Amino acid sequence: MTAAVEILESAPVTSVQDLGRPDYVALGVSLGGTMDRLAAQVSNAMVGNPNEAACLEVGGFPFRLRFHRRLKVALTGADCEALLNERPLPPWWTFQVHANDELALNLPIRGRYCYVALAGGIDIPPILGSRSTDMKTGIGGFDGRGLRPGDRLEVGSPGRGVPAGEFGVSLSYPLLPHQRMTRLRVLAAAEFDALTEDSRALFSRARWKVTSAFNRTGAKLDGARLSLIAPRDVLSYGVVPGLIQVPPLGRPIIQLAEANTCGGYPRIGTVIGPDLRLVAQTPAGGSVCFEVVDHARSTAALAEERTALATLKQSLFRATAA
Amino acid sequence: MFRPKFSLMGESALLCDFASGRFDQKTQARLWSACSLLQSQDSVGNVVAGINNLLVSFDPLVTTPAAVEAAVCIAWEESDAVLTRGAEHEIEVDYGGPETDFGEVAATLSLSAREIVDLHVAPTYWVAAIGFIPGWGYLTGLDERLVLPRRSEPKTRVPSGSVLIASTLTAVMPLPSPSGWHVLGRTEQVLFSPDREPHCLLACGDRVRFREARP
Repeated sequence: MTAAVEILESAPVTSVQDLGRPDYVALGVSLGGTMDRLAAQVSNAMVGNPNEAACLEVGGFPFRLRFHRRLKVALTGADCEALLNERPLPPWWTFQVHANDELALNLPIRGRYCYVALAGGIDIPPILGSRSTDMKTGIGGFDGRGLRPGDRLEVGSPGRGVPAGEFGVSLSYPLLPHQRMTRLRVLAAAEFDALTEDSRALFSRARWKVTSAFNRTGAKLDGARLSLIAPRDVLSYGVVPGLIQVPPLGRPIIQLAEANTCGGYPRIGTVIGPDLRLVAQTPAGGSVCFEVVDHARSTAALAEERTALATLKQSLFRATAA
Repeated sequence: MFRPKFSLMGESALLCDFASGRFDQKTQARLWSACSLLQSQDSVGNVVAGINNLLVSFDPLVTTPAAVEAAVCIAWEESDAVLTRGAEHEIEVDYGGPETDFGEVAATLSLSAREIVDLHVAPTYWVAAIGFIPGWGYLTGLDERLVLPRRSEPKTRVPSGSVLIASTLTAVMPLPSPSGWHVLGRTEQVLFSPDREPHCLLACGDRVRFREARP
């Protein structure tokens, strides 16, 4: 029997991802998983998948695939020109496909990653508890690598709660970063106070550029140089995605989904969880700025995001029941 | 009660710094014990032991940083420094070569090639922590004369099997990866296998010796 999905055109930055591998961080295995977790979770919800279902994280365009079976599909994330057999699709949309239908995603006008979820989820054997592709190490996902033309993927059995019909979703919540400037909320980290007074001020006021040195592990920024009052040799410490480090030459690096589990450069701040997806969706050459917030605000942001997602799922559930 | 230095690493993780200057072996052994005690608690998520520090994850909508800090202090009080003697490993190394920083290191430290090799193979190292990338062990016991800060800019790709030094530590690169450490040589030894258990060759408390490969 032919596999459900056939890749026609793809760049190596496109891969199978899910929620990652939290249980193996102690062995040095990156948490990994989707870069824009909100977009990925919404795409899964739109096809009645559980949160942990594997989907396609599309980071290179044009991306094309062919379906070999009737399936329910959802597309979220970056604002790309999406065509189903030449028919344009609205953004954040779920739709039915039939055997021989083709989906084409073209270069986004906004954002960097699109998420394609299939009812039933991508069916590949989990490695170390997850179907995520760890690109650094070649562990997990489809053969431990990004997708290529000719790759064929199987899909699992859909759950019973697959929302019927074709429709889109929106959240009372920005889905992508602002076009001109990605504003990132940050909590000060261990070496923030070790920055010079000028650097501390610069951190919040400067505009940084996302360079082409950007991948699932991290994003190198260009712009002003930050300096510590005195050079510091920091003993290696555990790392979470979102951590902003400053190596001695002064330009910040933001750790992302496939961050190494430990690091040793000075820690200036951490992008809050709900804003990680905004880093992920900022294209090369895009601008970011940092806003230092306190723990109360960051917790409120997390609560807001969880509520938005829960509310959406409830309304989708009602759509299924109807 | 002893309190480590606490700092937030985002809204869902707390960095607990137990260090006072240089790395301390007894503190590290006690941290492994504190790590196990913390991991068994419901209010706490992942706990990652770094070098004389712990990173404790939690859900800020379920508990607070203050509550986690209290749990960490209690775990420290209850912890036991047992310097476990784990497995012993001997790793064969090809020192020097074009892909290494051997020449640079020799020049910076004003040491000859022979002196660097002799200083690196002499000690029995101890695996203080596992982390950074799969199978990476932070090895303590590096000779004082080989101490160098990390590179000012990390290299984009250091090959698998690279034998490295930085600050007071040494390590072997299990998979190709970016790194700010200095490369002294290469080994063929495999350090991480995703397909079989145990996945990591090295575990906390293991001993490691390096041996110069015969030409």
